[in-house]
Amino acid sequence: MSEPTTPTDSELLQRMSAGDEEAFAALYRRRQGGIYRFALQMSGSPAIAEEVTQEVFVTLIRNTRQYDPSRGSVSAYLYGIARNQVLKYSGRNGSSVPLEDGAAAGLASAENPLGAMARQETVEAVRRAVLSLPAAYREVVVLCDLHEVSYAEAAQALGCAVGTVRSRLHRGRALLVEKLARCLV
Amino acid sequence: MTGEEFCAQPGQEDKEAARELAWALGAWKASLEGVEAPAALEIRLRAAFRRRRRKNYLWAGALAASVLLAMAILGVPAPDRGSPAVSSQRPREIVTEFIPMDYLQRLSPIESARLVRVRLPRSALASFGLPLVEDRRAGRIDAEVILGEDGVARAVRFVKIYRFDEERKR
Repeated sequence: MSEPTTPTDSELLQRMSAGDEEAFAALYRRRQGGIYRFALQMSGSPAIAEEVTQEVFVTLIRNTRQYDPSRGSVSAYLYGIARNQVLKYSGRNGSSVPLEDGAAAGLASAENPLGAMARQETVEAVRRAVLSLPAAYREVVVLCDLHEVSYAEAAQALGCAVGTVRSRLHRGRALLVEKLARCLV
Repeated sequence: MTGEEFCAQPGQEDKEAARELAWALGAWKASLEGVEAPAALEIRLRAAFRRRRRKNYLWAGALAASVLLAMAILGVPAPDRGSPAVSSQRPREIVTEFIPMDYLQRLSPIESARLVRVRLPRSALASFGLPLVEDRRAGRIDAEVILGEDGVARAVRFVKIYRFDEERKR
């Protein structure tokens, strides 16, 4: 007896376009965490992250047929929509670094309070450093270093060449090293 | 060798900085493990999905009515479902169902229409969700388009022409 196979994103999308609500829910549950965290890491704001996540999936609901499998994965397609939404919100709200994203506060550990504090400071420092990067460098650092998206998928999501992703990542990392060196002395 | 001497070596400082950056990014990533969109968002999106689906069903119904009306106006016969060829000498045509255009929902209903036969690239089949045999991607295929009174296409169906000779009937 063959084991049931997990449907791919493309299969779920196809079923979604035929009106299958559970297929939509399955795709949403599979991808929402990554999209939400991407938007949170790009904007620093849980409120913006929630708005962006909502817009990504509303766009998917309205334009299911616009996804072209020959151009890349569903995941890269969703990251691309999220990135455009984040840029829209950033343009609206200015480029100030939000105070906190609410997650670093959960790092405190009773077993090693000093270690936890040091880790918390590092997390806060790198969060501020990433959020202060120009958007073009920030998005490749977040996608490739925090979401482990391949260069090819990042290029698809961002609509640029793989070489551009590599060079921006290299420059973004160099900027982060400089910023962190100033913060963590 | 002291730590400072080590870091002063060419390349060592860069490697050390890269390691520290990777560690810091990893720590931030780990701090967000399991962080997800609020549960209420799924409820809102499911509701949005159901609303969209109802809208699509209503438009499909309106489209079906428009297409039937157009067919009645034009006197278009029903699609061939594989009935035997009337004459072995005449070509037989097989047609698909009418496929509505994606933008149909933004158009006004029509009162008159005309059916136009066109030749489209075979690759157009894929654009309408129909299977396309890879080694037959080149070339053209017959299609019939319903054009509204505004000249905008409402729906398309694809036509395949078969030819029979007398020997096949025997």
